[in-house]
Amino acid sequence: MILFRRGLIFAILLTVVLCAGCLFEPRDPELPGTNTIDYLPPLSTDNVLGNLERALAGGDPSGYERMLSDDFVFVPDSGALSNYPDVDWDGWGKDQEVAWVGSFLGNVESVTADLQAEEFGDEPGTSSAELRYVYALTVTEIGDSQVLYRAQATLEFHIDGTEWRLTRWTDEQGETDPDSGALLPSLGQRRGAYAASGGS
Amino acid sequence: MSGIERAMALAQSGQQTLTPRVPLITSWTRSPSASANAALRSVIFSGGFNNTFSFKDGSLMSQTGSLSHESYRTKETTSSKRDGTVTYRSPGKQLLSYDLTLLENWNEEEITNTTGQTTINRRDFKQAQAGIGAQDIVLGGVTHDLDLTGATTNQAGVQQNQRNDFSEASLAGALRSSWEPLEGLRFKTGAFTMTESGERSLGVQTNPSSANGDTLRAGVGYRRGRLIGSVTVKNSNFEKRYLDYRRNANGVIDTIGATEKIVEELESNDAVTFEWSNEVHAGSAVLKVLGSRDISENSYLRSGVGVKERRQDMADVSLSFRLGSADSLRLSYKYLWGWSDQTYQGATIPRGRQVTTSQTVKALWVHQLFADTDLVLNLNNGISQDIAQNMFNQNDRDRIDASANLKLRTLWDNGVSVDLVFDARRVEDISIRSSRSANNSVKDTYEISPQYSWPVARWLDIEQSFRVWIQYTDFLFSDLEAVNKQDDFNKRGNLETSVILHPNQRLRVTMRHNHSITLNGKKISDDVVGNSYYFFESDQRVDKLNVSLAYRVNDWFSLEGTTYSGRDLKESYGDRITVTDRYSGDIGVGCSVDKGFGQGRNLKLSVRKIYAHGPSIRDEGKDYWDADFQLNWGF
Repeated sequence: MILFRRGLIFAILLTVVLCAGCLFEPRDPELPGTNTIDYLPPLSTDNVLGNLERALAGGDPSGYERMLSDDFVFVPDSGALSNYPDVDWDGWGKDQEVAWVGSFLGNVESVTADLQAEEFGDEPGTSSAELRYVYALTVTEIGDSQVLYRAQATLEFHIDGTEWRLTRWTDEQGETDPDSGALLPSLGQRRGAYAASGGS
Repeated sequence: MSGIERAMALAQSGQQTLTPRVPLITSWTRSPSASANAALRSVIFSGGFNNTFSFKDGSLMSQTGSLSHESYRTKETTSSKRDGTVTYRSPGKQLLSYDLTLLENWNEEEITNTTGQTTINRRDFKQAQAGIGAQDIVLGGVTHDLDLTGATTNQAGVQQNQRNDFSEASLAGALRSSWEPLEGLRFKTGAFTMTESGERSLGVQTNPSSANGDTLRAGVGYRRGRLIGSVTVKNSNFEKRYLDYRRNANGVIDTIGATEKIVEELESNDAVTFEWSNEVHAGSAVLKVLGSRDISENSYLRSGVGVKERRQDMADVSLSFRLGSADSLRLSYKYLWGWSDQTYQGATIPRGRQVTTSQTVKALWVHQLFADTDLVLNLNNGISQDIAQNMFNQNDRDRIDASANLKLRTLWDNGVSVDLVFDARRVEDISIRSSRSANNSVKDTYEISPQYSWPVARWLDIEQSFRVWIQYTDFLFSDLEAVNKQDDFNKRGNLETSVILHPNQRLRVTMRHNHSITLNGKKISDDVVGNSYYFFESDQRVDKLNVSLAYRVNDWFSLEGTTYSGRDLKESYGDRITVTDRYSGDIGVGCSVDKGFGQGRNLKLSVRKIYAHGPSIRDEGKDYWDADFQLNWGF
C-alpha cells in the first residue's frame, strides 16, 4: 500500500513536470546577424560592469538581467527620492529593475554607457566587493534629443554560485558634466520617471 | 492608598458612599532617548522626546519629537532631520470617533560631489489633519462605516537649487457598507471621494493646483458548505492639475533647449479591477482558484508620455492534499498575460503593445522518511515571454526556467542535525531577434550541499558545511563562425568549519575556517562519441580564518575581540600562466555595555577599534572606530 502510494506520488509529479516541459516550448530564434553583442564571462567585477555596458549599448535587457543577482536591490540618491517620493523605492528589487531596463531600452534610440568613468581605486574582495565609481550615460531619445546622466554610485557584487553578479546599486549623488559644468542627474531619476508614470 | 482605592474601601465598609474622583489625565509617559552611531560609512547622532497622555474619558494624546545629524565618511555629505507630531484620538468604542494630527518634517542635506560642487536640498513639510468617523451604523439591516477627513498641507522646499513649494487643502470621504441577507453570504460596497486644491510653485513659476478622485467598489463574499470565496469589482479614477518640468516620451525631465521648461500638467487615470477567489475543501484536499483582471489608462496633457494603456490577466490554481499520515502534496499552476501600450504625445497611432506572458507549474512533496527525517521535493517549470507588437523594439525573448530541489533534514533529540540539499536547474535564455540571438544559451547548474551541526559537549559545538556548484553554459549558436562564443564550465567548492567553545558562562570563543576552490574552463571540442574537452582557464583558492572572543565580565559588561585573516591565490592559464597571491586581515578590540535601570530605562554601548590591511581595504577602513550608543529613559 505504501509502495503504491509513493508510486502514485512519483507518477503525479512526473506527469506534471513532463507535461509542463512539453507545453513550455520557446519560440525559434532568428539566426544571429553580424551585429552581435560579445559578452565577457562574468568571472570578475570588471567583466560584470563590461557586460552591463554592452547590454545597455546593445539594447539587450536579457544581457543586463543576467548580470543581476536574484536579491538585487537598487537604492536611489536623495535627488531621485525627493523628485519621485511616491515610488516604492524600498521594494525596488530584481523584478523592478528588469522591468525598468526592458522598458528603458525598448523606448530609446540608443545608449552609450561608461560605468567606470571615474574609479576610486577600490579592490574587490574574494567573494564579495563594494566598489565606487562615477558612471556616465548618454541616452538618445526617440526624436534624437539627448539626455545625459552622470553620478557617483557604490556598486556591490558577490559570487553567485560560480560567477560574479551585481547585488546592490546605490546612487550616491549626481555629478557635474565635465564639458558644460552643469549638474547632471543620476540614472535613479530615470527609474523614478518610469515608475511614477505607472511602469511599462 | 490612592484616592480611588480609599473611596472604594469606604464604600465597601458602608460608612459613606462616594463617587471616586478620577483626575483628567490618568497617565503621562515621558520617553527621552539619545543615540550615537559611528560606523565605517557614517556617523549619526540622534535624539528624541516622546510624551503620551491618557485622559479619563479614554482618549489619548501623544507627542513625538526627534532630530538627527548624519555625516558620511565615504563621501562629503551631511544630512540633518527634525520631525515632530502631535496626535489626539477620541476614546474607542464610541459611535462617533474623531482625531487630530499636526506634523512637521524638516530635513536638509548638503552634498559636495567629486568636482567640489556643493548642492543643498531642503524640505520643510507641515500638515494639519482632522478626521471624524462613525462605525457600525445599522440602517435597514445594512451596516455602514463613514469616515471624513480634512487636511491642510504646506511644503517649502529647495531641490538642486530649484524651489519646490506647495500649499493645499483637501477633503476626503469614504462610505463602506455591508449586508448579510443569508448566513454565509455577504454583499459589500465602498465609495471613496476626495478633492484637493491650492497652489504650487516650481522654479520661479506659481500656479493653482487641484486634484479630484473617486473609487467605487462592490463585492460579494460567500462561505457555504465546502465553498469559500469572493468576487470583487473596483473602479477608480483621478484627475490632477499641477506644475511640472517638461518631460519627454519616457517621462524623463527634458528641458535642454526648451523654451518652456515648466508646464501646467493635467494628469488623469482610470482603472478597473476584477477579482475572483474560490476555495473548495474536501477532506484534507483544498482546491484554490484565484483570477483577476486589471485594466488602466493613464494620460498626460503636456508630458511627452501621452497616453498609456495597460491590461493584465492572472489565474492561479493550486491543489493540496495529504496522502496518509506521512505524505502531503501541493500542485499549482499560475498564468499571467498582460500588455502595455503607449500613444506618444502628438502621435496619432499607438506605439504597439509590449506583451508579457508567463506560465509556471510547481509541485511540492513533503514526506516523513523516518522518525526524525523529512524529505522535501520541490519541482518548478516555467516559461516567460516578452513580445513587442509590430517589432517596435528588438527585445522579444523567451526564458525557460526548470528546477528540482531535494532537501533531507534530520534533527535528533540530542541536538545533532544533518541537512542534505541537491539542486538542479536549467535556464534557457532565448532572444528571438537576430541582433540579440548570438548570446542565446542554456545554463545547467547543479548544487550539492551536505551540512551537520553537532553539540559534542556542553562546552563545545561543531558545525561543518560543504557545497559544490557546477555550471555548464551551452551557447546555442556557438558552432556558427560569425558567433564568437565558446561553451564553458564553472565549478566551485566550499568547505566551512565552525568550532564554538564556551568553557564557562563568561567566555565564548568562535573559530571559523572557510576554504573555497573555483575552477573555470572553456570547451575546445567534442569527439565523435559525444565527449567534450575543456581547457582550464583559471584556478582560484581562497582561505579565510575568523576567530572571535567574548568575555562577560558581569551581567552588563563584556569584552570582545575579533581577528580575520585571508589568502586569495589565483592562477590564470593562457599563453602564459599568471599567478596572484593576496593576503588580507583585520583585528578588532572593544567592549559592550547593556544595562537596564528598571522598566523602560536602559543604556546600550558598544565600542570597537578596527585595524585592517589588504588589497580591498579603503583608506577610511584601515583604522577606524565602530561605536554605538543608545539611551532610553522613560518616566
